[in-house]
Amino acid sequence: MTHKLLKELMTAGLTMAVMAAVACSSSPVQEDHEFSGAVTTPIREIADFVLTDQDGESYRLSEDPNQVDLIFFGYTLCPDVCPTTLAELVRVKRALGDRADDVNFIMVTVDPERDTPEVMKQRLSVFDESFVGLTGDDAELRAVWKSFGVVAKRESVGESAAGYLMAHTAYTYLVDQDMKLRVKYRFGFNPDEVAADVIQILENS
Amino acid sequence: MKPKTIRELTIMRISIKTWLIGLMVILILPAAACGTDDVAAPATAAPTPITVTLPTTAPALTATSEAIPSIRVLDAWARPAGAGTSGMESMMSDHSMDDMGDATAMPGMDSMKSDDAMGGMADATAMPDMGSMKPEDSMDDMADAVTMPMDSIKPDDAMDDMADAVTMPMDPMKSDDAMGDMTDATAMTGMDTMMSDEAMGDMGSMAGMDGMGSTGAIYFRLVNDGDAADALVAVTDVYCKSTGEVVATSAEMHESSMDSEGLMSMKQVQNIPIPASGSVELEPGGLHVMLLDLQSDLIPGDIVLLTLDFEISSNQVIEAIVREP
Repeated sequence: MTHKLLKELMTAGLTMAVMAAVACSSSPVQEDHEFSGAVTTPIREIADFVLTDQDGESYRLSEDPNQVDLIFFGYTLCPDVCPTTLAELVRVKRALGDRADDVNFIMVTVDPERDTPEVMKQRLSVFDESFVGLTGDDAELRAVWKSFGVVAKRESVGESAAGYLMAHTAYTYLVDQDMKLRVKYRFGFNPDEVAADVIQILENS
Repeated sequence: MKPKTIRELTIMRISIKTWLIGLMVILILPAAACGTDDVAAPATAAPTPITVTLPTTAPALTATSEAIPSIRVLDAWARPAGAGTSGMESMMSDHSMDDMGDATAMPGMDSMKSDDAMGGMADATAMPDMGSMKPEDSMDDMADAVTMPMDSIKPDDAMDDMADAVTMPMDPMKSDDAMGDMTDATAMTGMDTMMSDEAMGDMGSMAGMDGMGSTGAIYFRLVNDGDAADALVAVTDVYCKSTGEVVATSAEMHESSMDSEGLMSMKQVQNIPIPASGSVELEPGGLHVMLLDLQSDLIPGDIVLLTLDFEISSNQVIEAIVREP
């Protein structure tokens, strides 16, 4: 008798667990997905560009038409905002699991004077070896900043040993497979929400 | 079939009974123990009037004495940061440190027999070649915990301090005087004094190769339990806990802030006020300690020691752990 009761209880429990699982997994991709960042309207195309990556090789943004790009502008001397954003992008990558293969994680420098490919490589390697660090000459970079609407200003810092710091736009941009700028995220974005947005773009483009 | 079930049921019933009795014993025993405490308390608390009079004088004392701050530092952590190969890395790679986890790889270890000693050395790291050291000079600066052949150490309490030990071949050091100096050492002044001046010179120039060197950030929460305001005025002496090496040649206090256009900028601040009975948070995108000219990578799991100088309170040496990204 006790066995029967136990069995019934277990069946009920299992049914509930399965129902809960179905409820949770029912909507990974929805037509009415709400992006967690600011959606750019109208959606505009980003001009393709070529910059130099951390291995000194040229890197063309449109190189792999199947990939989505998460692009962030910063500089390696930055101790706070830029490493924090990189750490959040590591979390986005983690949340994406296998789908991360379809995403390029890119940091474009706003400080070409200090950020040589070697320096970019050093600073990025502690976060993720697969992240791309792009630098170039001042004119090349200015054109890229402009197409994203990024502002970068050099600021002297008085007696700080840092010499100078950069004030810069600290958004992270989601560019889809067709080079269209889709969403921009403020500093402090939620990595899981960005990952959900990326999956939405990957599935519905 | 049925008798078997009945027998099973009886066994179940008996075991339930046993469990219940066990449970009751567990519940009642501590209660009884507490009860005896309660009974004992009044007996031992015979001079209660005295303990009551003490608090009544205390407020009078604090009322006349000056208000003082009381600072606690909580949850200190650092971001991973890459210094590349220009700093300490080239002299002591992480890989060689990992290898040292294997006790047999440590020089001088074979003479250590006690299991306790081995346990204490779980976090141990080994200095590179210490052959060139002058024992007398360097030992003065050695803080808690240096491991050495066991037969030269007698008291057990010497081992207590060895949790974060730095190991090295101790062959040249046998005198009891030297041992005394080591266990008496109080402040961690860093192991840099153990390295030759030439080595330090090289490291300095290497770090300067790409101009500024790289940076890092440390965050923590400052809580002031006192009734007077204080301020963090400087951060100094940034060391790696496991190696004793200098992590950054300087540390500054900075604050990041974003304007309405999303333009993020950072400014140095000369101090961070901590209000009386209040707290202040150093956090990403806000106030932080900026480490400059990093001498080695900050890898998740590393512990950084730094000294916080306050305007009124005495200095505090804190530990910040490097978190996973």
